Amino acid sequence: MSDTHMSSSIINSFNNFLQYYQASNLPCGLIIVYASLDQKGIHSLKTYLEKEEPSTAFQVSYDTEHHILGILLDDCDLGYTHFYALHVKDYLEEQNQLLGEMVVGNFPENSDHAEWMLYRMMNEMMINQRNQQEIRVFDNETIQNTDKKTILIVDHDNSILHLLTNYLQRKGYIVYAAVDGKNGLEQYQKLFPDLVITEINLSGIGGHQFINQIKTIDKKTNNHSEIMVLTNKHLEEDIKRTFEHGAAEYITKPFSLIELEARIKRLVEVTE
Amino acid sequence: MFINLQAAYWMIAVLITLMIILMGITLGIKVNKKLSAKKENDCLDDFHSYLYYLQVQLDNQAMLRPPKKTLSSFEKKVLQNTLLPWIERLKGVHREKLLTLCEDIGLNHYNKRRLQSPWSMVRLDAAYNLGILRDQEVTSQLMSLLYRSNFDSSVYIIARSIAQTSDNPGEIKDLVLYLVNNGKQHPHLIADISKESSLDLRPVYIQFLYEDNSKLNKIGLIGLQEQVNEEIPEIVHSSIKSEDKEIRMLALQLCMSAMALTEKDVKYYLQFPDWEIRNLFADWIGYSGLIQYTELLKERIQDSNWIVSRTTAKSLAQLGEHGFEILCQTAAGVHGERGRETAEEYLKEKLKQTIDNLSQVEDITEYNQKVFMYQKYFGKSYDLINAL
Repeated sequence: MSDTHMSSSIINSFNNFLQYYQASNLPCGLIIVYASLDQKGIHSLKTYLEKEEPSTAFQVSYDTEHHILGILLDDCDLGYTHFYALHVKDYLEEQNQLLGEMVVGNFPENSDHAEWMLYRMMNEMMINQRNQQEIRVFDNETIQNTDKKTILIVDHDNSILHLLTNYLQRKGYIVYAAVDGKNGLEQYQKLFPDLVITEINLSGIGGHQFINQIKTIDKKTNNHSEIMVLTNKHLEEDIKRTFEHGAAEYITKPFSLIELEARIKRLVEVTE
Repeated sequence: MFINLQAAYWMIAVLITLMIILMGITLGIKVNKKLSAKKENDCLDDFHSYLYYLQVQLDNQAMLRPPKKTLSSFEKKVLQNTLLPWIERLKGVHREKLLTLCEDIGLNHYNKRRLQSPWSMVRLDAAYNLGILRDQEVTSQLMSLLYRSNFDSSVYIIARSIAQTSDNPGEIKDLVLYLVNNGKQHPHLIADISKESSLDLRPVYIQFLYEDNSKLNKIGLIGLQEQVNEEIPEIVHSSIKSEDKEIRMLALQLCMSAMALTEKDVKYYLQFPDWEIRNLFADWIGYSGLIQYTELLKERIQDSNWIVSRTTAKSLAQLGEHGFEILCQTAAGVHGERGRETAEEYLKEKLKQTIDNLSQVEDITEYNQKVFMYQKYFGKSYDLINAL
């Protein structure tokens, strides 16, 4: 990690967070955001947050040089911190004070790595410098991007694509999506993912044909990707036929995310 | 002449006016549709961060929180259009979390209010949504709605919602009886509706088997397929002898799934006068890999019905080395002329198919074994071997 991206003054600005966290022995939520604020703005924000979530104690720090606002939430898990960040975003947007992305994270109870985590959150934010005013959840895993397993999801159903993409990204996978077999094959040839999750009912190229073509590409390129079918088709005949085409797993909709994740892990053995 | 021309002008003027009015209405509908789509998209954009929060924190132990601000009916509808498809596609703890969230957002209340609407389409939509929301408080209201509704296809939507929301197997029984007694004659569809319930309906399905109504018997048999248990009720065995062919087939399929048949039974049904039952059994033996019955198929491949003979050939090919050898023997005419042609045809197809799909070492070993067996009966000079 390069220090050129981040001066030590920023860490100093938020040093009180670390001291507070270490003294409290509690899990703490952390929100970091690019925002343009003055003393009055900070005061108004505090008043707003106290009004909206009166039961949550928080600390605010602001680095005027880099326009970074930090909010530390007492005794909060990541889920609540993320929800709280929605309030902060609403307020800053309303006041036209939001300058870029927001990152939310969580110091687990009694962690020795809080300083390291804060440093990484700040550093990632400064490297990325994203202008999109969105909330991003900090990935506390130490898996490098190159070690992450890649998954291609092919399904005509946008609900499934959105839900699985966000869910699996959060679980440490790099996820790509395609809405039909043709697009799925194009992406497959570019990406060679570790796993393909596909529906059988696909437009253009049918699911079985899609699997066959993947197998042919694999044979030609000496590649191997696991194939998991996630489908509406429940008939035994379909299940048997799909396994004959070379699928490694068959899951029917509605499905359990826990079961899906366990089967994905078994297939691609993601680094814990 | 003058009068006719004037009438024609009038007619043209009326038609042009009508066309303009119709065009205006069509344009109005299109503009309205576009405006509401835009409004919906804008609303979805506003919820973008919130929906991302839901997807990312779905797995978090803590509950999902509803949006802080008070939602308008339109905003509830937009959120509902996103959340309900998620609920339909998921099961387990994540679905439960989303159901709790929908309740907290007020979607149950919103739809319960719509259930009282004077418009039947709105009531139907609300009933559908309440089914997905698994709101147990509305089952009796949905039952009343069902009894009041015209007996068209909309009753299936209401019935499905009743099955999804009911916490009492007796209500599902009443529902099925109502549908069957009022002329809905699709046992598969009615059984599918009852399967939407998360309750244990085995006792209800068994009760249906004892009814005099054949539709109910069929629903019972279809329902039990999903809940296969080693203990098959005695009545299922009697249903095998039913005069209704569909009941016979369903009862047999149930016995097959439960593996509740002896070798004597299998032998008996493989020689049954009805070719569809012979075919069902020949297919089942291969499909389930029941190698203990391989020898029984030797006779069936010579069946006078071409479909049974062909199905038997397919099953023999699925039954390992011994099955494949019987297939080769039949094709070579070892057991006589009957079935020889079908076996030979299938054999050629199978070997060609196998070589096209070779990809793994196990496939190649299996293929070599088959070719070895084939050569044992047909020799190396046979044209198929050359072709391969």
